[in-house]
Amino acid sequence: MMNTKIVEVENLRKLFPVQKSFLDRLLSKKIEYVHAVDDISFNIKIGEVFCLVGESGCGKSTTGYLIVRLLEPTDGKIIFRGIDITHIKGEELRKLRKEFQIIFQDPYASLNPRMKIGDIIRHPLDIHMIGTREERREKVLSMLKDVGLYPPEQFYDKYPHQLSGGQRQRVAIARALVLQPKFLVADEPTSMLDVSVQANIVNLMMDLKRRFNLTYLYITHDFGIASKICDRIAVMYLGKIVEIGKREEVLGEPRHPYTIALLTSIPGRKIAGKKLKIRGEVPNAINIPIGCRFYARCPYKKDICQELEPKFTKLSETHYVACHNIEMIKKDWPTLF
Amino acid sequence: MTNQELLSIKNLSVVYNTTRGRLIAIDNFSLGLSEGEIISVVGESGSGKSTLGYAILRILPPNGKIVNGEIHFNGINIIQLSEKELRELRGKKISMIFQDPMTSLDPLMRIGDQIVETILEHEKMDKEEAWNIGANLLESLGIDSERMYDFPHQLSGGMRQRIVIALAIVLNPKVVIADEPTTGLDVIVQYQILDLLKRLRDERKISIIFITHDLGLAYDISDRIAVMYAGKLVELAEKNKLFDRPLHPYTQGLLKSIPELSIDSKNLVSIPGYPPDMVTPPRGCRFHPRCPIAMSLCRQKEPKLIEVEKNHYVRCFRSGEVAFK
Repeated sequence: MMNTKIVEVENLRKLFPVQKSFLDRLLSKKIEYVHAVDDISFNIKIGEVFCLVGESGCGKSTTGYLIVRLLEPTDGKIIFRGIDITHIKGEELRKLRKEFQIIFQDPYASLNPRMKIGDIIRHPLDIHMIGTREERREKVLSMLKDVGLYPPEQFYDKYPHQLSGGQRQRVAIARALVLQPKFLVADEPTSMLDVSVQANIVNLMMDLKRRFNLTYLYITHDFGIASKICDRIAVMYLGKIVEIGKREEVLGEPRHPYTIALLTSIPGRKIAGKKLKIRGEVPNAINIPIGCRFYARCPYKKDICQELEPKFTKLSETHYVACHNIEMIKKDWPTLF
Repeated sequence: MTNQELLSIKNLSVVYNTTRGRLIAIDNFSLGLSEGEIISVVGESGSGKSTLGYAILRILPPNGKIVNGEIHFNGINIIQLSEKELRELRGKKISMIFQDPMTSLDPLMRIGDQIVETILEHEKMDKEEAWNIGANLLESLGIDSERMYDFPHQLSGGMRQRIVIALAIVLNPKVVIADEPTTGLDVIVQYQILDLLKRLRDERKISIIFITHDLGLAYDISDRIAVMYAGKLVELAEKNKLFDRPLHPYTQGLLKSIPELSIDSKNLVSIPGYPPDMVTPPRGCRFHPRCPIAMSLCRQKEPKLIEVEKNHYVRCFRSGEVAFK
């Protein structure tokens, strides 16, 4: 049987040591860690748009960086098209990078201001020594056309500062796709753009996905966008996945109180009526509580939540929720729409 | 508009002199704000919405200048005030909440000292009295008054923005201009901040000009919504009217391009093109290059703002010709 999974993540963890002052180091105080990603597992199927949603600091971007190996995982496994890539290095990793690429959040920081647009997009081809000079130029021009930058010859010789935010993000997309990867991590690619331009970029990405048979891991804090593009969603809180499922399941029948709070806090009038109000803000990820990480803010908490970290409960073949109070939530929030 | 206008802006024009040339950031803008009213000014980057806030408080950057118009507050024309009179106005009558709570607080001063400093700048009292006023204010906003002893870096983003709001209202102003006060905050905290602003309006009768790029937020907080495009007011109406029956094609496009949460539709509609370069804006209607219903007149002539229905103003030759679904 053919493997239908392009990415498999198993018990992935990433801890960042907290910077210590010289004095603290001399006194050899215990090193503390930020638990950015703390034991998460999921897989992404070929051709899917998988959305990772959460607030700042939940570990969603770190997860993206880990999968494309821009960060070294502390623990766990990353399997890409059946190959364990968790620890591959050097030439081997470089070769594989052709197949997975990333688009960053900030198109003002991710493009080298001293390089021409054409050179930026050509750079990956140079590194991987693909084609002749002429062929590379042709490839770049056709990429520029593919991302909607007309006339391509003119854009080839421009510099990033001559472009608007939306155009820059198109360049970043062209650069990510020029090596014809199979899998793309998109790290909040539209969060810095104006609303009217945002939709253009998202639609372009979906169009390219169809044309080039891509698979996306789409990272966003915006449930609105996620609801327009994803096949499956995972919601993260403090380094953990708290709910995962198909689009209709997570959006229509969310079962984790945090998911419901996020969904009902979205401004606008589609979700009018009931809101699940929660207090406080995301705590820091250094001193992780023993029980449920959402305990302090949860309106549904009971004693067990403080003592025992909830494991995933299977609600359907595809829908999993990490909460002790699913029954109560089901009663209060049968469906969201 | 009601006759009880607290703040009234008439034919305001603001220009910036840039290295690339003169740029008209706000062009002939009029708006009236009543007591206890919340109006959202919605627009994309470069629409002039933030400049509007700066102009009202006369805190434009050095290359910016008000070239035309009047801004009346309680009968006084702000544009004619001297620097000394302006200091009396700012903070005490009209105050501002800036976008970035990181940079609007002094990182080297305790929260309490910043509040005390603000009070003593305007009121004659001793330090202890001012400190107590500050502490009471924080408590009334649901913030532990122990926070008075904290430095800004010890606070979370949401808490910092609450402190900025406290600073903005400590002198009991009549009008607060909130310039994208929730940008950079997560949805749940954003919601908490909106709740706080609404409470200020309900309990203290403060009028708010809420500047935002997010129509959804505007809907949640305001009574009326003003939509700006490239320095022009293009549509102004009561919020439900604007959402039910937007008449300007830009407002219609903006409403459609909000990725609103839904499970039935995967459709994400966009407005083609980009907002114009303000040094060389297009002739005629500034929206015509991106407009789906532009005709030749739109390329030649600039439409006027017209009251097409009671209290519903639109700047478009073809306003309402295309029904909004």
